[in-house]
Amino acid sequence: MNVIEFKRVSKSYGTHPVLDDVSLTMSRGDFHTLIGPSGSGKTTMLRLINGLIAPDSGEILINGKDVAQTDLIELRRNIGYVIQSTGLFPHMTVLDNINYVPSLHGIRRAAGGPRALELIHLVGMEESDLMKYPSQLSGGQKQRVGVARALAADPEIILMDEPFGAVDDITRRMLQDEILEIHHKLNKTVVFVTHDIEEAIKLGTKIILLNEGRIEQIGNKSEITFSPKTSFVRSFLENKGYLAFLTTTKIGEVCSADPGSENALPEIRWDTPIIDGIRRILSSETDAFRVVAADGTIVGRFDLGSVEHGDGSLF
Amino acid sequence: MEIVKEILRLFDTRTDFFVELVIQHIVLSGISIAIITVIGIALGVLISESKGLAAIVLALTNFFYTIPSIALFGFLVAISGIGAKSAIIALVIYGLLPIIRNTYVGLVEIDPQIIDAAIGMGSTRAQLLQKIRFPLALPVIFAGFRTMVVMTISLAGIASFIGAGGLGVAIWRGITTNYPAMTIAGSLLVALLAIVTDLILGFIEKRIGGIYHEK
Ligand SMILES: Nc1ncnc2c1ncn2[C@@H]1O[C@H](COP(=O)(O)OP(=O)(O)OP(=O)(O)O)[C@@H](O)[C@H]1O
Ligand SMILES: [Mg+2]
Repeated sequence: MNVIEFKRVSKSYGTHPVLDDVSLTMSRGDFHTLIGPSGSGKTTMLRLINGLIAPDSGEILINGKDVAQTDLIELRRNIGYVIQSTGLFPHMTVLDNINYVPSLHGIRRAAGGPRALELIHLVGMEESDLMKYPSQLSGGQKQRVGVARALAADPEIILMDEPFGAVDDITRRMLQDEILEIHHKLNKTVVFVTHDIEEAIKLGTKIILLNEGRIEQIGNKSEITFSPKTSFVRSFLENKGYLAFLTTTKIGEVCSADPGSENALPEIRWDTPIIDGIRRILSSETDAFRVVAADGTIVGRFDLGSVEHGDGSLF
Repeated sequence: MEIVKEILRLFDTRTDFFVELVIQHIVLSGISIAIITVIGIALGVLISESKGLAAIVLALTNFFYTIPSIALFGFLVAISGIGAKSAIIALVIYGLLPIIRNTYVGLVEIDPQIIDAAIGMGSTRAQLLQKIRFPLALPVIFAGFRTMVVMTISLAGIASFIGAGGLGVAIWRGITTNYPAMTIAGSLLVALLAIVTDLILGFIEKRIGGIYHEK
């Protein structure tokens, strides 16, 4: 189940250590967000995975195979790669950009067409956008095409380096929702670098906190938020971690699966953000809710205690 | 005004002579341009792979570029004799600089993020060159090509001094027979050829550059 594994990996530039004895595993289908201060080694970790750089010591294994012993060209074609803002090829149409990896295998534009169409819809764009050049797209659309391009060859792993760094807040939230939906649909293993605590907590099923080339903590969002392992994690997240957790987590993710027997409790939809439930509890409207799914069936019970000690995800 | 009339009369009465010179001129420049383009782009691509090599080749072509043309022609006559061969060698030596330099600059000055994305997606070196680097460098390469073509057409006017034919023949004859109208007629045609070619190439250049930046 380990798709990616770092085994005691170190990397320096000159005398400056960038990654220091990093070991971790990433399992299939997880959405890993990699977060840490600037210069902490996030991009370096990403580029080690697709062999753009090699470690000084240690190994990186992809599906159990050492990257150093792998045909890098083949490996990279099976790993989607999205980089910040400018990664699109300006001399190619959106169609040709999306079809780039297939074209490396000799698959022609005409043959790649149906796949490109499927992908452009997946990322919420129109068929007519396929014939445009990147210079004719908005920032948000460029990011979408970048995601579509990374998915074209149906890779098992997708690496994203601050893909939504250069767009406004509203567009970023939309892109985040879309990437979550795509992840639900396709269930790829994702490694997603970000600066933004809210983004890391919102997207990550596994959050990896990096500082000065060392892993400070790996955990899901409630572990990171409620049980910071080191003082660095605590101070890095400050209150932003809580706030992000409360706004991006849905009630269905934390409520207890036992609805209880109090029939008089008000109902709340399971896809409501926790913070809205808390607000209603704090306004003395009620002490608890019965949680209902989209189709109206009762799926659990939510009270203040669920926030930290929930049974886990219903999603 | 006398001289203008005289030139027009020359074009009228000696049409066949001038047409032949124009054709010779085009052939001479054309062969040189073809050779320069092939060698220049190949060398430009080659040196874009190695900084050390680039420094040497660019310094060398720069040096050739600064040799006075008369001196180079004289030198070549001593080595490869009178005729088109020497002229073409000289034109090639001069023409290489703009095309090598522009190919090199165009290839190395591509946004490193784009190169990074292309390599990270699994391009081989050859695919990177063919699908990304070369097309992106094309506008810069073409600008160098245009400079080179105009320069070669003008410079070919001197080639007749070493017996290679072309419009220089008219210029040379005008000088030696003290017949200014003939000299001017030849020069005018060289200039005309260069300007028309430049206009056509300028039009193409705009279209090439435009592809990437349509807005
Ligand atoms: N090619 C390189 N040569 C020298 N030093 C480098 C190189 N690439 C990265 N570094 C250094 O390695 C350290 C980690 O870089 P990295 O790009 O992994 O950081 P990051 O966590 O992605 O930062 P940011 O959030 O700013 O993108 C930095 O101090 C950087 O200066
Ligand atoms: Mg980075």
